[in-house]
Order: sequence, then structure tokens, then C-alpha cells
Amino acid sequence: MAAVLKKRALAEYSHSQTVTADQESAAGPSVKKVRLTRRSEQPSTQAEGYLQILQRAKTSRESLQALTSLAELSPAQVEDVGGVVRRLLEVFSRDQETAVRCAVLRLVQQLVSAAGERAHLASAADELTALLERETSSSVAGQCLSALSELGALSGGEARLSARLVAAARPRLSHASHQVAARAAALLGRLLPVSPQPTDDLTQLGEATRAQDPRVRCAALQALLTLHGRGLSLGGPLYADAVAALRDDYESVREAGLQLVHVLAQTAPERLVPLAESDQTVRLVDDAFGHICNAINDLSVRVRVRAATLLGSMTAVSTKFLEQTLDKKLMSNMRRKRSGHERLRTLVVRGEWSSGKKWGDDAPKEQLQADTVSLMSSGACGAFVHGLEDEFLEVRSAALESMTELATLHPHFAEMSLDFIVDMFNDEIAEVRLRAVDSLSRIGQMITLREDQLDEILAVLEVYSIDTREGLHRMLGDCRLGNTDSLKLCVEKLLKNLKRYPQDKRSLWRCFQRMGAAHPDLVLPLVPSLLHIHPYFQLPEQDVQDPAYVCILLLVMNAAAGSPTMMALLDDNTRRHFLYLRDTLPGMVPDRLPGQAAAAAAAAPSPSTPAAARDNAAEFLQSVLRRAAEPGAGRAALEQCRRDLDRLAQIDSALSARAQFASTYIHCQLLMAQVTGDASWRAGTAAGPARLQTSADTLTALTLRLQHRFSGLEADEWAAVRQLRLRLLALRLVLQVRGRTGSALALGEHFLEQAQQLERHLVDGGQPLDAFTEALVRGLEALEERKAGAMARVLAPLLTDIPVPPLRLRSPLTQAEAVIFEPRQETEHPQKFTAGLVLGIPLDCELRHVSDVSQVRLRVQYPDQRAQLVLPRATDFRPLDEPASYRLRTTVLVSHQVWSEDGEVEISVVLDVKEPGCKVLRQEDWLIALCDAVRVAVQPRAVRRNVI
Amino acid sequence: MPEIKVTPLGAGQDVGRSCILVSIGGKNIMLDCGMHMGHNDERRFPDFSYIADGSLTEHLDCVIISHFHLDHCGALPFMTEMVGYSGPIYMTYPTKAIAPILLEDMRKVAVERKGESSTSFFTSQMVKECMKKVTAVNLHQTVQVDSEIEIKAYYAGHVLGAAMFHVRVGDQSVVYTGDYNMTPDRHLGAAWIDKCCPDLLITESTYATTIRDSKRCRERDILKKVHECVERGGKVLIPVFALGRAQELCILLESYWERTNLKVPVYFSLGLTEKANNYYKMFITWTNQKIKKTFVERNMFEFKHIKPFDKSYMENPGPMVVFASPGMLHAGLSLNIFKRWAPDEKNMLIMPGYCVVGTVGHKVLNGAKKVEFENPRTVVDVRMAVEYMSFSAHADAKGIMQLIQYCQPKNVMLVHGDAEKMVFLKSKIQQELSLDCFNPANGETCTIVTKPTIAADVSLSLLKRDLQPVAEIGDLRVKRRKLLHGVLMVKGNKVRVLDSDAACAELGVTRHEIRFTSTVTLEDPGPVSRTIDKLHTHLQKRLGITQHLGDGPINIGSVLLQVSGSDQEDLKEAIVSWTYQDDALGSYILNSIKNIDR
Repeated sequence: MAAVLKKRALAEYSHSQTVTADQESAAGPSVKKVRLTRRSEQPSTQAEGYLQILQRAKTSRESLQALTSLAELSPAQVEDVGGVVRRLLEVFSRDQETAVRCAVLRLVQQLVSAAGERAHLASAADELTALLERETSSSVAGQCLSALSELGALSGGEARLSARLVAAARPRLSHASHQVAARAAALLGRLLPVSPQPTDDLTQLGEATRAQDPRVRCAALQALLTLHGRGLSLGGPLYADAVAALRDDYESVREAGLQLVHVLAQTAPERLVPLAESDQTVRLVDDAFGHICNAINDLSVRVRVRAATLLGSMTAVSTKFLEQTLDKKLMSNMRRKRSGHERLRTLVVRGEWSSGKKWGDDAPKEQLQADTVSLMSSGACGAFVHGLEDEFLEVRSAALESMTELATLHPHFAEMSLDFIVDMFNDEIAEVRLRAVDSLSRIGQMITLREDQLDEILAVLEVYSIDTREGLHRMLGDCRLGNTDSLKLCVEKLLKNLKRYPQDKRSLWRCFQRMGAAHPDLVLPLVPSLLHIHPYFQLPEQDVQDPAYVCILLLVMNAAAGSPTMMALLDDNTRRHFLYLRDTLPGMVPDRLPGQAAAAAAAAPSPSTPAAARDNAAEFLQSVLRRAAEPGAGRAALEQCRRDLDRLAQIDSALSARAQFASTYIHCQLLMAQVTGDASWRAGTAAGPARLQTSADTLTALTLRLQHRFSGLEADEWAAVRQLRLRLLALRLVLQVRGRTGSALALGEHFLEQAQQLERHLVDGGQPLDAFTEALVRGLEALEERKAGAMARVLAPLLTDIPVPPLRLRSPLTQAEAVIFEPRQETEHPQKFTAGLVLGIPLDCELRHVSDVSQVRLRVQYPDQRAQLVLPRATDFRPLDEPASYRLRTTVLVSHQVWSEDGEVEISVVLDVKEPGCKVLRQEDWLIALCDAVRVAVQPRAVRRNVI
Repeated sequence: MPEIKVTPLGAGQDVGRSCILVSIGGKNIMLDCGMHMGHNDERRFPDFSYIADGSLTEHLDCVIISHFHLDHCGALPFMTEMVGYSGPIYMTYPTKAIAPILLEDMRKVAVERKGESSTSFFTSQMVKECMKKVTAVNLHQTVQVDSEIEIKAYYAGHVLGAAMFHVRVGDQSVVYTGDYNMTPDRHLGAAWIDKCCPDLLITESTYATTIRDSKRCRERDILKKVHECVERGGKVLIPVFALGRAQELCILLESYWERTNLKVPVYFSLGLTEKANNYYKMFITWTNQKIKKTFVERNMFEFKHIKPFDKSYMENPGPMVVFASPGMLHAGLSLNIFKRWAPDEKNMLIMPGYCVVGTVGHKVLNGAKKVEFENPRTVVDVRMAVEYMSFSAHADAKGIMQLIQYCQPKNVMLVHGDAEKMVFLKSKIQQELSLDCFNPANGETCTIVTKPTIAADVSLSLLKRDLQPVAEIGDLRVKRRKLLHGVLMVKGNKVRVLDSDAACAELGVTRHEIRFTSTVTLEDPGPVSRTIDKLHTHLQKRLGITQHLGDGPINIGSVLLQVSGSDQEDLKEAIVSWTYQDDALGSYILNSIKNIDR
């Protein structure tokens, strides 16, 4: 009971607290804020207690426990850092246990770095350096060095401190213990002064890369890398050390060595280095490339991944070495053999295809001399071939990535690597396959596809994964084709693809569009056969709704834009279809075809350019808004404005968002006026008829839409929207109080909170308050007690007297919207599933101008009006090229009990804009539909007994 | 000198009947115990009488089996049950599980089909008894066979459970690879071994003269062909051996079917495969990354698209793909299906492996358009497309070289390959890796001499004195050989390195001191003490560490310098004396004094 009382008292207290705060803030800019400063609990007493325990500790176990507890305290809980450090160091000098002393050092470092004060840093560094000189235990010395290096780094490279620390670490680089030496190396790497001249320290570190202990070698290499990262130019002599590290027995050393070789090659690519076992020289970058390629055959996966990754950034490598990476001499029984890729290539070059029988086709050719064959891979030979065949997907994807990276810079290499990338479509891991598709589209523009390669690539169109197929469509749209036959093959296969996977329609259209635009000359000879144009007979007109025919049309139309002669080949039907397509698929068809320019101009009465038309429309919009803003504009005039705006939104896609915004706003204006003009409203006390409540609900939805669906609002427009919303809340509050249907407490609080927030925001932003808000603030100020009823009495006359201010709209807006491609409206053939179980309906849609995808939900409404919200997975959203646009591909799960016959579920995409903690609206009311719902017929059927 | 003796009883310059005897550090170890599939007489088993007549147990210390293929384990029941061996046998867990299935199958075929007398062949009971004697080992698990022999298995990737074995006796060691594969495939990873630097690496060399194309290219090829064939309504027949490659092909087709959403049925003729497949499902740790990663969701060996085959399906219309054994089309189901489907040109035959001369498979692969059958006497027209595809899981020449590089052995021996191919690889190993390479024939003994290592005890103080890095001499910490100054003492079978003083003390010998003394005549008028001072400052300048007390001699380390003569004489005699340890210093001082006036 006591607990409940206490709780209540607390609630009371905090409640009145907020109200006073409100009063003050509502009073104007001179806000006095009551701030509750939380008292930190028992400052430093805890730390003090632990310290005392530590000092009294008899066993090392106790000390360690105390130290651990100290380390867990937050920095704020330790006040006198200097004093604590001093006491800790006393413990350090007294205790003999290595573990305790290490822990002390760690803690000192932690405390000092958390405090972050220069003075502490310097003094602690001094003390630790002194300790280091006396220290005999190697692990303590190591810990000490690492603490020092942290402190040195924290000091931000202060020269004097760094120099002292470096001087302390330098002789320890040759310490017998790896702990000391490795940490000394790390410290040198972090704190050595960055000077343009190579120093002795570099030589020393170079020597340490040959140290006895692998950990020291690794640390020395890492230190060199750190130095490079800090901008120090590492000299040439280190290259030999780095290369030697590649042959180390330990993988961490090899890995660090690889990175160092890479870094050196990147800094001085053109330097010449002598070739091993000969008197020739090669460019440093080529030599390094060879070394890194060798590491692709390393024993350790980590090293292989590293090598494969590094290769991609070695863009300066010469073509000769690069092309070797794809080269693998094959032989069978001592006879030279050609690889599958080579065989295909020669077939095409010869101009004939193999006939049927392939056995023996790969029969080995000439005899090889035993001494000409080299089995040891030297240099770059076949590095990528091995990398792509590796057991581990990490290596394979890294190799693929690097190969693509290099291919985008070397066109010839791109052509060579194509075969290998296509091979990767067959990888067992889907991730790698997708990456291969990506790679292909990245190098798409660089290559001209040969017929045999095309054949291989097109075979992949059969693949089930839609990502792979779409990637391939993108790539085919980008790449260049060699001849008409290739194009024909391509068209055939793509149409087959369409037949097999109709859902690829849009991606295929885009592909055909780009393919047509890129190859006008290749399309020209194919036009008659593609469009079935016969010289003598008139063939039936094709169905312009047929997606396959649209594909062909897109190909031809886009090609025709670049080839004037093509127009003569087309018949009237085709030309009409073009006009149709221009309207239905505006983005995919050229604005005008060469021959049609005159005709189109004649057809359109106003000889206006598109730009002029746009200006016209914008002007019209403004004129409508001016009309609506006229002081005497009555209800009828506003209605007319709304109609104009709605029509404008339909006609002009560019202005659609603005027109809809304006229309919605005017709608709000109208509704608001309608409510306040109602007789029952004016009558005052009693609750109005239900229609007022309905209007209020509609207003709620409309204002939410204005607030959340449109983006790109200017500050004053935003303010108008928010104040409209506040007005709506006021309206609802009044209705609620008058209705006496339930407690208005929650709504009242919400309203107050909103009013206060908005007012503060507007004042901060320097925006003027509109008349309603102004009056509202003043009215509230005058109130003694902010009860809902009292507020309602203040608000009601304000709502009636002050009309909604007219809209001024200047900024170009965007409107969040969604287009559902899949599932399509389907009410004829219901999808059947067993009742009580789940049916997955694949959903494919595009979201535009959605700033926050985490708000997107899928709404499924069943015929019994029950609705479910489905939260799509974050990974199902794929960003599109435009900003804030996404492709959402996911599965909507539908389930229901038995129905006697089929029914329709409605699927739609909505935004859930629920404000956390607000209990005023129902869950349903927070949803903003982004598109019309799609109806899908489903039929849950009873479980058949004999099945189970 | 210690040596390792190796005698192949099978697989020496040959493929089949792998059986290699190794004598190492006084222990005899048998690596693999296989049978030859090409022979039906006594040549099919290794000649165990070479080892000993009667019981082998006292002559052999252990037997190691690398994997379950019959040419590596086929003679095991014969050896243990009929010849008599009851010592330890080692193999990996999957091998122990699958080998008896294959042995039993082989026994059935030999006894029931070929009508061999059951007295000369082992019985099912014998297979069971034999497997009871086997100890199973895990990857990278070090097993102590007896107090001296230590074996360790590494992943070989040839078939499920295939392993390479590292055998160590004392300080000598041998690695036996068995069969291995360096390129990973759809269900197995690549062979892996650490840098264990054995004295001898015994490696297979099946593809000694081949460098293969990338496997992706091959896979893509075969999948495209199959797809085209079923798309035009044809039937595809793939004759396979029951284990190993069959699973590989199944996974390949299964994942392709999955990927392209094909609905054409794929069948697999049952038999011993079903039992073996269960083991494949169980030994997930022995497969590759993909299967290991995904088996929690779905075990890749639980095929979704591949269903068991029934003989009646043969007549079904429409496209289908059928895996049927045996692999060379010499008998059984695969031959029956072939007879039925061969005349239709829409159909296709894919041979995933080599075929022995004389089998139908071999004829068809060589382009025979008509195949005659006896009993009943018929002629079948071959109109179906015939494809060959190599899907063998052996390392190619590059792979072998790579393994040698990974392993870093001191000697290499080639087995399990054709003699003339070995010659090539042997020359390459000698040229490019500069290692000694052997390729003994069956029954030929190779002797590999190893460098003995002799362990000696050194006292810690001596080690510390000589190996502790000295700050002044900067490069001592660099990894390189170091000289240790001491005396080697051999007492009984104990070898020790001692400090020379300690050695003297222990032996009760007083040390002789050898000093060199030389006299230099200096022309320097004036008192002797001045000459001494002059010399002192001179040396002080050069060496910086001289010691001089009053009139006495100048000490520089063990070097003594004394000046004799009287104050009046112009010529003074400087006597320099040094021990032989400080020869360099002494000579330097002597020279420096001689040239003092220059």
C-alpha cells in the first residue's frame, strides 16, 4: 500500500512539475526552466572503498578483485584521478604478483585516458617511464609499454612526450621477450615523429621484421604499416624485408607482409627493382603484384582473402602481368590442351560451330617438351583462376571483386575476364552468384560481347533468382553487341525469358529500351522480321497489350530515334502504337521519332515546347492558389479550386505532388469551415451530430497525410501544416469535451504537449505564429488551471472566429507513394490454401520519396474487415537509383480459417506514422495509405482428413 | 646413418592395389591395403608373403588405411582374417563406416556373380571381424600407436573421409597422402596439410602429366548440355559408380535444378548408395564450407529433386535424368537403360569417368554407332548424343607440386601412377624444387637416408651467456644461426655441451695457457716512464679501455705491455704478451705500437 501511495505521490509531483514548466514556456521566450539535477550517488566513496580494500589486500586474488571493481566504475565516479593514480602506483611498487601489477597498469591507463587531462597524461607517462626502467618482469614491461603508447597517442602527438616515450621504447625493440619487443614496436609505430627523411628507427624496425619471434616480426610489420598510415614515406630498402616476410612460417606475419608489400607498391609503383635470379629489372608494382598473386595459393585462408582483396587496388599494374592472372597452361598426358574458353573462342573466330559430337573435341593437341613445362606457378600466372576456384567463399568473392575492379580500368582484361565471371554464375553460394552479376553489369559498358559468350550468358536467364536475372538485364542493356546475329539471339532469349517469368516485364522493357538505343544499326535489318512486316500481305495488327510485343516496339522505337531510315519501314499500325506507348510508358520511349516530328507538330494545336508547357502548368497552379487565397473566396470557389487541382495532378506528373498537397490543404480548409459553420457547433454546449465527428476523423487523416506524406516543404509551409494540425487537435478536444463521451484527459495533455512543442519550435526557428496559434497561446496563458474543459471553452470561439489561413506554396514537393507490381489485381482465380496454415503472396513494389523505410508496413485486410499490419524485413528494401526510392520485394503472409467460398483480401502499402507514447488515436488512424489496395482472391479450404 | 626404407607391394609405378611398406626407426608400417580391380587371380591382393610367412602381427607395427576405395582397403579382410594380422589398424571415422559396405558389395559380386569359390574369398563374417580391429581417428588428432609411433590425419578431399597421414617415429617422419584433391568441389573441400617438414612425402601421381582446366567451365558445360537435352524432351543417362563422384554429380544437378526451377524428374538408382548416403548426411564435418554452413537449414544430401528410380520408369514418356550404376556400362541397370534409350537421338549419355577397354562404355565413347550384344544376340543402334566429362577427384600436376610446397618435405616419393608419367613429374620435382625424388616399382626397396639429429644437453648459464642478445651488437637478435663456444662431452649415451671451464673442472684437468710474446724496439729517447705514458695515451686513444697503474705494465684485457730499457738509452724494448684467445687484439696492439711514429 505504501508503495502505491509513494508512486501516486511521485506521479502527482512530476505531473504538476510539467504543468508549471508549460506555463512558463508558453508565456514566451523568457523561459525559466526548472532543472532537476540528478545527484550522483555517493561520489568517489565507492572508488575510495575499493582503493582501501586494494591497499589492505593480503592475497593477489583480493587485489585483483578490487582492481576489477575499480575498472568497472564509470569515469565520473572517480574524482581525484591524480591521487588515485598515485595510490595505485604505490600498490604497484609494493605488490610482487605480475598479474596484479599488469592490472594496475591497465587501470592507470584507463583512468588517465578517461580523464583526458594533459597534466595527468604527462605525469602518468613520466611515472610509467620511470617504472619501465626498473622493471624486470617482461609481461609487466610489455603492459607498461602498451599503456605508454596509449597515453602517447592520447596526447595527440605532442612532440616532447612522444620523443621521451620513443626514446624509452627504442632500445626495447631488441628485447629478448616478445611481449616487450612487440609492444615497443607498436609504440614506435604510433609515436615516431613523421619526418620526410628515412630515419634509423625505420632501419631498426626493418631489422625487427627479421626477429626471432613471429609476434615481434608481425608487430614490426604492423608498426611500419601504422607509420605509413600516419604519412611517413617508407623507404625502398624495406621492400626486401616485406617480401621476405611473405615466406614466413606464420600466417599473421605473412598477412602483415602482404599489406606492407602492397603499401610500398602503391607509394612508388614506378621504381625499378631487380628481378630474382636474373639481371633484369621490373617495375616495383609489377613485382609486388606477382608476390601478392603468389599468396593466393597460400595455406591459410586469411592470407588468401587478404591477397585477393589487395589485388583489386593495384591499378597501376601493367597489362602483361594482369593478363597472366587469367592464364593457365593446360595439358593432358604431356600434350598441350586448350581450355574450354579458348575452344569456344576459336570456334567463333573460325566462323563455324561444332557439329553435334563433342567427344574428342577437347582432345589434346601437340606434344609438349618436358622441359618447357613449368609446374610451379611463377608470378601472376593463373592467380585469379585459382582465386575463383577456392574452397572458401570469402576468397572467391574477394577475387571476383578485385577482378572486376581491375577490369573496369583495363578494357582488354575486362574482355578476358568475362568468361570467368560468367562461370561464377554457377557458384554454389548465392551471395557469390549475385556478386558475379554485379560485376558483370559493372564491366558491361567496357566490352563487346562475342556470340559464344552471349550464348553462355543468355543461358543464365533461365535462373530462378530474380536478382540474377535483373542484373543480367541491366548488363545486357549496357553492353555492346558485335553483330546482328547476336542481337537476334539476344532478343529471342529475352522473349523466352519473358514467357517463362512474366514478372520480369518491366526490367525487360528497360533492357530492350537501352539495347535499342545503343544499337540502331543492328536493329535496322531485323525490323521486318521482328515486327512481322510482310512486303505484300497485310498481317493482322498485333496486340499492343502483349508484353512481348511491347518489348519489340520499345527496341524498334528507341533504335529508330538514332536511325532515320528506319521510319520508312514501319507501317501505320506501328506508328500508332508508338503514340500509345508514349502515353503509357512515358519514360521509355523517345519524345519524338525522326519522321514524325512534322506530323506531331501538326497534330498538337499549341506549338509549345515541353518547357513552356511546364511553366504554363506551374503558373496555372499558382493562379488557382491565388484564387483560393482571395479573402472573399466562398465555399463554391474553393470547391472549384479543388477540382482544378485534382485534375492538374492527374495531367501533369511533375506538378502532381504540389497540386495534391494544395488540394488536400484546401479540403482541410473546407472541412474546418464546414464544422465550425455547423449550427450545432454554434449552439455550443451539447455534442454535435455524428457528422461533425466524421468530419473530424477525415481531417485527422488529411492532416497526417499533409504532415508525413509530402517532403521538401519550406519552413513556413511546414509551419502552416503543423498549425493546421494543432487546430485539428483543438477541434477534437472541443468535440470531445462537449460530447462527454469519455475522459478528455489524454487528448488534453496531448494537445498541450503539441502546442508547446510547436510554439517553441516556431519561436526558435523565427517563424511568425498564425492568428489562431497566437490567440491560442494567449488564451492558454490566461488560464488558471489547464483542465480539458477550461481549455475547450477557450478554444471553441477561436476555432469559429479565425479561419484557416490560405496556403502559400512555392517549394517543389515530393510525395511518398508506392506502386504495386505484384500481386496483380486478381479476382478470377483464387489462390487456394489449407485453412489455418499460411499462404505466402509475393509482393513486388516500388516506393518513391519515402524518407524513412522503417515506417513502411504492408496492410492486409480480410473480407471481415479485420486488418493486419506486416512489417517487412529491412533486407527486403533495395535502394533504387533515385534518392529515397526503394524496391520492396517480400512475401505477404495471409492466413485465415475456412471460408465456404473464395474471398478477396486487400493488400496495400502504408506508412505507420504513430508517434510513440501518444494514446489519442487508434492504431488504424495512424496509417497513411501510399497506394490503392490490390485485391487478391484467396480461398482457405478445410483440411482434408485423408491427407493427414 | 638413420634411414627410411620403403617397399611398395602395390601401386608402385601402377594404379590399383595400393600397399606400401615403410620401415622407419625400426618400426614397420603398412600404408593402405588395397586390391587390384583388373585381376581375378592371386595378383589382385598384395603379396603378403614378402613380409613374412604366416602371421604378420609380429612383423608389422600398424596398418593405416587412407580412404574407403577398394584399391586402398580391398585386401584388408583377406590380410587380417585369412593371412592373419591382429595388430592395430587405423582409418578415419567415415572410412570405417563406409568401407564395410563396399567390401561386402565387392564380396557379393565376386562370389555370387563371378562364381568364385567361397573358400578362397573372405566371407561377410570376416569383413565384420576385420572392422572390429579398426581404430578410428579424427582429423588432426595425434594418435600414439605405441611408445614411439605417432600418427596424425589431415584432410585429403578425395572422397568423404579420405585422409593423408603423417607418421612420426622418433625424429623421423613420413607423410603418406593416399589419394587427394587440391581443388575443392561441390561436396568436399581441398586437401590441406601444414608445414610439417617430413623426411619423406609419399604422394599419389595419377595425373602427373595433366594440368586441368577450371572446374567451373566443365560444370557449366555439362549443365548446359543436360538442360538443352531435357528441354527438347530427351532423356539423360548418367552411368556412375555408387560412391564418391555420384554424390558430387547429384549435388551439382540438384542445385542447378533448384536454381533454374526445373521440374523435370531426376532419378537415382538405389542400392548400396542409400546406405552410404546416410553416412554422407552424418559426416557433415568432413564436407566443404557450403554444406557445413547450410546443413542446419537443409542437409544438402537430402535431395529434394532427386528421387529413387524404379525399373518401370524406364518406359515413361517425357524427359528425365537418371543416374544408374555401374559406371562403365558393362552390366546391370545402366546397361539396360542404355539399350532402351540409345536408338533415340533426342536422348543423351554422359560418361563422367574413364572406361576400361572392352566395356560398352569404352566402345560408345570411341564413337561406335552400333553395339552388339550377346545373350540375347542383338544389335543396338546408338543415335543418342554421347558426352564425356572428367570429374575425377585427384590432384593434377600443379596440385601435387603445391602440396609438396605446403608440406616442405626433404624427399618425395611418387606412387599410384603410370611409370612414364612419373618420370616427367620426378624430373620436374628435381628441377623446380631441388628435392630428391623416388619412384620405386612394386617390390623394389628404396632407401632414404635422413640426417640424424643429435640432442645434447646444454647448461642454461652457457646458453644465456652466448645466446642472450647483447645490446652493443645490434643484430644478434636477428634470426640466424649462432655460434656457441663450449666443449662437447659424450659420456655413455649422454651428450652434453659444457663451458670449457666446467668441462675442465669435471674432468679434473688444469687448463694450459698459451701466450704469445713479442718484442718491439722503439726509438724513443727519454725516461722509460715517458715512453710508457706515450704508449698509454696512444692506446687509450685507439681502444679507450686500457689500465695502467704506476710503473707497472699496461693491461688491456689479457694483453700485457711492458717497456724495458734504461732512461738513457734511445732504444726501448716494448714487450707485448697476449693469450691465444685474444689473438686479434694482441696483433692489433702490436701493429699499432710498431707504427706508433708514423
